[in-house]
This record gives sequence, structure tokens and C-alpha cells, in this order.
Amino acid sequence: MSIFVRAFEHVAGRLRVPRVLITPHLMGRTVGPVGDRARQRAVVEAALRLLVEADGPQTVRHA
Amino acid sequence: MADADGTGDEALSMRDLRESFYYGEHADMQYKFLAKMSDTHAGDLLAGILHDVGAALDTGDLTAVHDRILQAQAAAYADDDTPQVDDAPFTPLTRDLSDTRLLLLSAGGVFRRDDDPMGPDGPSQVEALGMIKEFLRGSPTLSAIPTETSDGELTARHPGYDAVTAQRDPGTVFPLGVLRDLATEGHVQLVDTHYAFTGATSQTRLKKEIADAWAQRFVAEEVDGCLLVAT
Repeated sequence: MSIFVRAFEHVAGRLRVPRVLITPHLMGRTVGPVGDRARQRAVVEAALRLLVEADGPQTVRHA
Repeated sequence: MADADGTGDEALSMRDLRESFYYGEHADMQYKFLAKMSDTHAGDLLAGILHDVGAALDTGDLTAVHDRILQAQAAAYADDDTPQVDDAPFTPLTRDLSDTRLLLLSAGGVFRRDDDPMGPDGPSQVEALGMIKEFLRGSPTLSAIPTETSDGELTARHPGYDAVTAQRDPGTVFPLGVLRDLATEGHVQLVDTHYAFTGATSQTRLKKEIADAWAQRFVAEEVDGCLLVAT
């Protein structure tokens, strides 16, 4: 289970990562903006849902 | 270059300016992608950002600035996504999430303030930018971070992105605090130790010599799943 910032979505394709969550954040803030704990939690929760729900390789979702 | 304004300073071309953000005089990892843009597109972007900042001074709303920079970053780094590996491994989760032992692994260069992987006199973030070639030739080091480590005990250094953001809030690339909350609430279990490394490193060495050893280490620590965070 991996989290990639949108700018590097192509990397997930190259590496054929099993589960990928793409986030719409700036570089260096993959999980969420500084101080925005609610957004950071929402991203982690989305990643955990992906861990549970993905049923095949290279499953990609956007958070 | 010519002395365009008569001050004795050499004129700075648009190309010089663009490239100065990429480990040059104006080194700034948030804008290093300017070096890859054409003069025209870079000029349009900078003018657009300044326009949006002007509006934000009136409205206090930085959304347009954020969105313009985000779109520029995404466009600059969009690249061929053709698979470079043969297989696409997949291991389904066969237990409840609440019974799953999760490990956090980040490429964001986060480490404990009292355990600098480059020694007690390790370089600052600014100094690390000048060492980018050394980082890219070197081997990555795992920084061990116990589950109970608070954000205040963490810092970060990384010559590939602006780790000052992670110094302000490690949760941006190392969401251990959020995971700890989720574990306390019973949603997931955490292993005792989590890890971070500096993603700006020898990718060949990482892939061919190190990744398997790290995986074996995590298996030995009875990890059921990993949350991997890129920067």
C-alpha cells in the first residue's frame, strides 16, 4: 500500500505497485498540508480502506 | 552576460533564472521544476502566481496560488508510466484490519532529533541541497522511529524536496501521530518501530541490494502490511 503525490503518479505505473493512493497535494506534503490533522487522517483512512478493499494488483484510487 | 541596467550586475536571462531554482542561487525544491520549462511557460507561470498572490492579499484566499502551483508540478513531473518491472505482486489482506500489524515507511528523510542518521553534526537542509550528488551516489539508511515518538521529537532532511515542510509538521510525510490515534481507537495495530529514509539515493543500489534486506527485516518484525509514503 503506497501513497503518491499526484505529480509522481507515473512512478506507481512504472513500479506496478499493488495498491496506490494518489493525493492532490503539493510535493513534500503527500499526506496533507502542514497542521491539517483532519486532512492527514482522511488520507490515512483512505489508504487503510484501500488495503482492505483492493482485490487485485495495481489498484489505483484518488484521495 | 551584459550589464543591462548599468549597475555593474550581470543581466540574468530567463533561462538563468529558471535554472537557478534547480540547486543554483535560488535553490528551492518546490520550484526546481522551473528548470525544465520553456522560458515562455515559466514566464507565464510566474506572472500567474504573482497575479494570484496579489488577489490573495485582498481576499486572504490562497486557493488559486495552491492550485496553480499544483498543476504546474503535476505537469512538470508527468512522465512515461510504462512498467519497468515484470510482475505486479499482490497479497490480499486475509485478516481484519483491527488485527493487522501495520508499519509506516516514508521516503521523506524523517528522523529522530537525537538519532541523526548522518551523525550528531549532520548537515542542515540547506547544506544537504549542496550534497545532492553525494546523496544520489550513496546508500539509503533506515531511521528507526519507535511508535510512541512524538512529532516534536522528529525532524527531516532531504535534498530532493523542501524538507522544511516536514520539519514544521512531520505528519505531512510521516503520519505516525494519525496512525497512533487510529490504533488507540482500535482500527488497526502498529508494530513497535517504524522507519524513514531519504528517497534521494542510489536507486540501483536500493532496488538490487537493499530493498530485499529491508523486506526480510520487516517480515522478521512480524509486519502484516506497510504504509509507504513518497514525497
